[in-house]
Amino acid sequence: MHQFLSANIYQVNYYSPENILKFAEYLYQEGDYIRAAAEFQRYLFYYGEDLATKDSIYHKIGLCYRFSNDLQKSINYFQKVIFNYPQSNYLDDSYYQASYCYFLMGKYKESIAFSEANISFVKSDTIKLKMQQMIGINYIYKKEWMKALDFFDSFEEKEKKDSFTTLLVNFTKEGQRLPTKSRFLAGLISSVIPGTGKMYCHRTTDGIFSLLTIGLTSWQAYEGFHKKGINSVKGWIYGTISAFFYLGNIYGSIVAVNIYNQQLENRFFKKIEITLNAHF
Amino acid sequence: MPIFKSFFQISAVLFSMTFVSSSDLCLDIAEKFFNIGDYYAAITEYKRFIFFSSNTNNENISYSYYKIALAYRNQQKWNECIDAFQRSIQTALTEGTRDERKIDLAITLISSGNYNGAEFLLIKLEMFSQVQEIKQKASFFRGISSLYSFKWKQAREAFSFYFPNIQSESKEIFKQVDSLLANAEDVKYRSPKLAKIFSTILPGSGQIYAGNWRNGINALLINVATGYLFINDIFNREYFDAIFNTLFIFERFYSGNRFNAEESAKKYNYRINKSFLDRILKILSSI
Repeated sequence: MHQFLSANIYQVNYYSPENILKFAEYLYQEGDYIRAAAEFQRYLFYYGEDLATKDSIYHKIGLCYRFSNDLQKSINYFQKVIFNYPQSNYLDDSYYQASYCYFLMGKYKESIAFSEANISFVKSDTIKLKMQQMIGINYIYKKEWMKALDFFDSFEEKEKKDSFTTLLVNFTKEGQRLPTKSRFLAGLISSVIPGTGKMYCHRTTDGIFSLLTIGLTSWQAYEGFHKKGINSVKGWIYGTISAFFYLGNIYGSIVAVNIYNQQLENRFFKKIEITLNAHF
Repeated sequence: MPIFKSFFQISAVLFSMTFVSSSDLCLDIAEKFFNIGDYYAAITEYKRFIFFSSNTNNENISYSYYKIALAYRNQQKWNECIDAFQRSIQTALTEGTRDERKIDLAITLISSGNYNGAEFLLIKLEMFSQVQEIKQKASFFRGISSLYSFKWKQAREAFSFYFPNIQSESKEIFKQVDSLLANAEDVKYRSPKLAKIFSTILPGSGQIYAGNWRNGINALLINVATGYLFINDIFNREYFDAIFNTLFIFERFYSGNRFNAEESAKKYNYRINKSFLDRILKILSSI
């Protein structure tokens, strides 16, 4: 079965720079960012150095890469705007976006350093505030609660009253008070009464099972040694198993604390992430 | 997956692809990229064509979505593929083309393992399509979909609509397929529940019932040995040891034995079904 379809009677100049730009914008709106970036680059290629709006295209490409999670490339494009177009309308946002990209990459130190070094060049008050908030957010993600609080405290009154700043301060206070568990304490109580370290991390069943396992194997070892003395094979087998379980339980309690704390922090940071996505 | 390879071979042989003949530059470039297997670039060019033709009532828009869908299908990006097929169906200008694309969408759904979705779509086509050829294709692929989900009765019913309406040389194939499907319907499967009950009463017997003799004997010996430990402890009045052995050794092997019995029955049934599926697909690929 062959189906011949009619030819397009309109011959559009698909590859004219204007149409490439239109198509790139369409792909950007559709959320097809990688293709959009390629089309924006093709548009730049056509114009070479003559394009007056090159900064806006670099900025758009940067955004495309940011949305497609290719963050290092994104930073490179924002830096092109920063270094080559000091008078650009996109300069302020490029500073902010580059800082945000460092944050998204988990490079909190770099994000803070970049924001602190460049915030004075930002003219827009809104973006300036956003960059300040970005510094604070980086401190939160570094779990440097006191530094974050001190930093937010250094804001001017008007900036302090900003609803998002207030929210970030609340997050910082919440982070400071996160009910994390102590690894040392878990290890210690588990070495005194096996299983209690796990119970301390709200893993009661696990704890009871550890207590029973260690208790029963120890009892078997005791019984073996009690009946046949130091030469009891049963005593040595169960004694070894029991010692193995005992040490494993102490280690397991410390791991349980790590997991508990990690889960607690993950939930906390997930909440912040959702707020950030809604705000930025 | 090899199983899908044979399925695609059947599809390709039975129904050749729609292709475009166009003097449109963008579409021509897209076709060239598609033909050399550069699907990423092909999709970009088809999208470009769609964007600049969106204000026209052009059959090639639907065709471009169709080719995008095929490109995504070749990359096994099922969600994007299904989305493109749906757009292709929405933008098609004729009922016939729409139905053709629905068949392709159903093939994609089968390939992605969404048999229920495919069957629903194909039944609708069988019921409402105005074209006899489409109805036949729909019943053929419904048969294929039923084969993959091991619904032999439904597959037989679907093929019985497809085969009698095509050329006489396929009649022999139909006879072979129908005979195999009839055999598949009569196969005595092993009940996973019954296997579990057997192994609960006598460890290993569920596995033996499911044809897994080695595992069954192994389970029987281990459970007899651990059970012996328990009884021996009771006779020696070592109740603490008895509880310990039951809790930590016997219980573990006994539960494992019950679980394995159920799994063995499921595996047995799958092996039988898979063997029928392979044989039927082999026959169908000769069409």
